[in-house]
Amino acid sequence: MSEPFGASIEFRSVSKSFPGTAAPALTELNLRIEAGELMVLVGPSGCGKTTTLRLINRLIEPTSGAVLVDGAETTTHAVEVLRRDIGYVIQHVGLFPHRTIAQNIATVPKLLGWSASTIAERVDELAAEVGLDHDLLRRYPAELSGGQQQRVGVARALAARPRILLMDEPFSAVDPIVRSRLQDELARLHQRVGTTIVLVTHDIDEAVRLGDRVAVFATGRLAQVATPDALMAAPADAFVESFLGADRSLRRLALRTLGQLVDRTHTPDAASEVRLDAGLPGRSAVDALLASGADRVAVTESGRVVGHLTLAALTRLLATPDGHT
Amino acid sequence: MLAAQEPLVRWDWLGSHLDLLGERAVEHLGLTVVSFVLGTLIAAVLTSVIRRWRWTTGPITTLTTVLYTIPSVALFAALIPVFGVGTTVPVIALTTYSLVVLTPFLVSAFDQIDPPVLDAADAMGMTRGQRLRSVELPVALPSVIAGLRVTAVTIIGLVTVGGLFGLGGFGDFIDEGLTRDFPTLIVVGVIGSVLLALAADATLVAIGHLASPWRRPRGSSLDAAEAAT
Ligand SMILES: Nc1ncnc2c1ncn2[C@@H]1O[C@H](COP(=O)(O)OP(=O)(O)O)[C@@H](O)[C@H]1O
Ligand SMILES: [Mg+2]
Repeated sequence: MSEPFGASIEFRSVSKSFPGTAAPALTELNLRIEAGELMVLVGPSGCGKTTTLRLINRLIEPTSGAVLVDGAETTTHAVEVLRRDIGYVIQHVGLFPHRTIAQNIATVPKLLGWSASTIAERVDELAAEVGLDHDLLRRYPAELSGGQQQRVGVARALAARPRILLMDEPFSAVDPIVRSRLQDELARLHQRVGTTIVLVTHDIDEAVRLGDRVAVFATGRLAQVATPDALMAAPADAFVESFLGADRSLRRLALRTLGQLVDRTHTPDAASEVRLDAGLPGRSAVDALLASGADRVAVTESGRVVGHLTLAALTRLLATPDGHT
Repeated sequence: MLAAQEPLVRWDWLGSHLDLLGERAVEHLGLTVVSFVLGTLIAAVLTSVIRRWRWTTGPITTLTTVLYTIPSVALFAALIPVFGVGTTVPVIALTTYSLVVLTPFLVSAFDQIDPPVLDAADAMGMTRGQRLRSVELPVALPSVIAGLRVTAVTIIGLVTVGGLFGLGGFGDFIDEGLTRDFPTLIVVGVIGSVLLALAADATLVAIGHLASPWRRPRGSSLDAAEAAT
């Protein structure tokens, strides 16, 4: 992986009230997003996630407070200069219908005055990066499926190697299977590229799956910022707890593989035990325990038993705040 | 009414008056083009005013609607005493009608642009001018062309009406045909203006087609040609 070259983002006491609305959309937001981090903003509809995101690229200006990118206020330079260094992906993609896929991807490099040959090279590279068939580059957006359009949206946003990528519910318009694949690809892309990513979602599963850290918003305020595991281990208040749902123990187990949870100090005795591969998510152990009625499962690596897990051990793991043994 | 023995079209008259035919066609086309261009320019200005200051929508729409309800015959009749018989009257009247017809088309053409598309343009750091030129105009173009077609055909029809007031064009033939009881002239005037309208319409369709390749379904002749090379 390359060094993260992403930029840090900081909100300093940012408030936003839209004209003609009674309650502010955002009140005194203080939040720091580290360079290269993938920060997920999650919360119920209307709680101010989109507003927060659009404050970063100044599609919305704050009523008070300041937004800083790499330590400098976003108002330091012309807004166009700021925006050309910030990729933006939205649910409805917003591809330019009159431009081919290649032309769509080339938008920002063109605005920046890159040479035609550099642009062509970069477009090819991006198509490969986001998994777009090369033949699609000559087509128009209307000829692509929803999943393909979303990939083009990501490629277009990344074209000029922005140090920040903003994504507003990027996967909520595609079907669950495509969504899951796009999520995996985004996680890998983030590893490779090192851009700071701020992703908005109302889906807590997506949030804990993708985020290095997760910021949970209640109406107009930040309720908690934490790693997915810490969030589910210790919700800051009743709002966060109810937003995370009644199955947060299972969610926490889903974040780990059996290999990470297994107790390797005891070699299992009974040969008839249920065997599970170490690569499976932690919650599959709970499922197997419930389904078989057994009191322990054996965990295997390449078919060889390396240890076991009992319900009591899982309970103990979940009782520790960081979930480590 | 028409004399019974008079044929509908005297072909020999047609043959000997080709130059007159050409002259009338040029008059008709000239009036049309001038008022079409002026009307389009003013409609474009009104549209940008409406898009910039939304509250102007009501007043501008009311004004254009009121203008639209004035019958063309009445408008010509009212303006001639003021400006006399020349090109001023038809140009004022026809420009008014074109902007009245076109403005609502233009406003809705831009309103129809998918908001996320504009959002994306802004977010990528386009300036206002870049967004207008490289996104809004091309995306709105098919709807703009639709408005221009209606406008062009409307004006060509109105120029024919203007002919009844001695303002030239194919309407002149009809006027003369009616006074002289000479059906050939009426037929020539009617068919001439219809053909002109069809030609103008076809031209605009062709321009729209060429300028909006993204609206063409795949597998059109162009793609086949491209694939073959
Ligand atoms: N342009 C706007 N004008 C007025 N109110 C707005 C505008 N944009 C957002 N809001 C209001 O601000 C609040 C937060 O909106 P938003 O940030 O879009 O929420 P989220 O993305 O979390 O669903 C909502 O109550 C919304 O109605
Ligand atoms: Mg939103």
